[in-house]
Amino acid sequence: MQTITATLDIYYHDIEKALLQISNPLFIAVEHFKIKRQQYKVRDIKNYIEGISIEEKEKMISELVEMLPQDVNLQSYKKFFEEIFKEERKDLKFIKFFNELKERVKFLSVEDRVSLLYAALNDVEYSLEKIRDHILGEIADAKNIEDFLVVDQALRVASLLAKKLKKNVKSAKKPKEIKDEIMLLLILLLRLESVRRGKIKPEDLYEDIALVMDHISLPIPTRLEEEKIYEILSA
Amino acid sequence: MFSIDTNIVLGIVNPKDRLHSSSLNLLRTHDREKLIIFSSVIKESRETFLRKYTETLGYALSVIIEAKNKSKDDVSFKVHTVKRFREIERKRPKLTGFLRLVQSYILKYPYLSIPESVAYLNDCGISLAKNIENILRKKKPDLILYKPSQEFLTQRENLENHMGTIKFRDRNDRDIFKDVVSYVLSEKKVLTFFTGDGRFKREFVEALEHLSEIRGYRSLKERINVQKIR
Repeated sequence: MQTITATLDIYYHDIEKALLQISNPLFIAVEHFKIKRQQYKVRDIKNYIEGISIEEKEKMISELVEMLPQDVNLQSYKKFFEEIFKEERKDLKFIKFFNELKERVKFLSVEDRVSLLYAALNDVEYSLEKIRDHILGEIADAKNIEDFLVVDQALRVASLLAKKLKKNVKSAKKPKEIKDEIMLLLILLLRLESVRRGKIKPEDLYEDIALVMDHISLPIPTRLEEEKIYEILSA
Repeated sequence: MFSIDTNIVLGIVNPKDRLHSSSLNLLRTHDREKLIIFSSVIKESRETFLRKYTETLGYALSVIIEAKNKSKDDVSFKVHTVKRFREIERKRPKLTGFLRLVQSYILKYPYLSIPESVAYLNDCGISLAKNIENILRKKKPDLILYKPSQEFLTQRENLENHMGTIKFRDRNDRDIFKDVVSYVLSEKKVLTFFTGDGRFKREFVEALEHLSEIRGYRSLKERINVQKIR
């Protein structure tokens, strides 16, 4: 019998990487520009990023998880988002890390930054779908099926949000919407990490999923009538 | 202008809800007034639905998995599942339609495709929850989903500092209260708020009493009318 936390544990590195690259796409700049054969653009951060230990990364994620707002609404989220990107919070490891990255890659063009964000979102979407595949494959062996279902729903809406963001980033439209949706994606990933760490229960994710729904598009599948809502609510 | 609580949204959407007829009656008697819905109410309605959906889907899946474990081949798996589902349908007849839906997907490819079917069924839950707003709009086409203004956001933030000892049963009730108050103050409106929950009404009125002692919030009691429907 599998628990959801044990199953998520297998993907700790994917979740951690997704969190860091959504917080700051520069985190994957080295691999991104290597593929594009433009390593020279990020020469100055290569050693710095590669020098960050597992413990330091863990510490950065912990700081973000600890600061997560309890209230699930856009206002609290925005407050949290502003707080975590305040450059003067030098007491926080990840702020120090972000500032250092920023200092070292001043010369990246807007196009470079856009392509980097796109690549980060693409990578996150791929990781989320990979984790989903595993969770769905394990569901028959789940200790608590509902835990697996709700985590899968959270991963699904996060993946749809990443997909939508990719489209908006590519078209270079709606910058305000992009900012809000990156914030929603980051917080949803942090909540999933909180579930993995046992800090919140999987059922606590329902609220976040409900909030993110406004920002994704998912048509009602054929063969499913709206009357099903009535049956479920009455059962 | 009037606004409604989550239990009334769900009452409108669901014909079998205890508040269904009184919720529709409320819409009829206020058909000339504008209905304003806050995002906190839509969020809680979706959350409530998704919880119930997932709980039910989990229940159906546990039956299927149990049948799978007891079966030696595809035929006995189908026989086991159908038998168990019939038993559940007898015990919980309201679930029949949903169980048949789950059954039809899972039984299509009994061994290979459980993950695929679950992914599909989870998508169904998410899209149905998202659709609550559209069902509501069919009953009240001119409803307004409130989009926060800058002034609303400022009021909401200030209000947080004055909430002090005000207590609500849960975070959703607190959020709805804050939305209603911030709306009335920022848009300078008078609003009637309907709920089907006696406790929430009581806590709402107490919170208004508490705020009315603070400068800037004194007129709230006259501008927000809280009513419980039966």
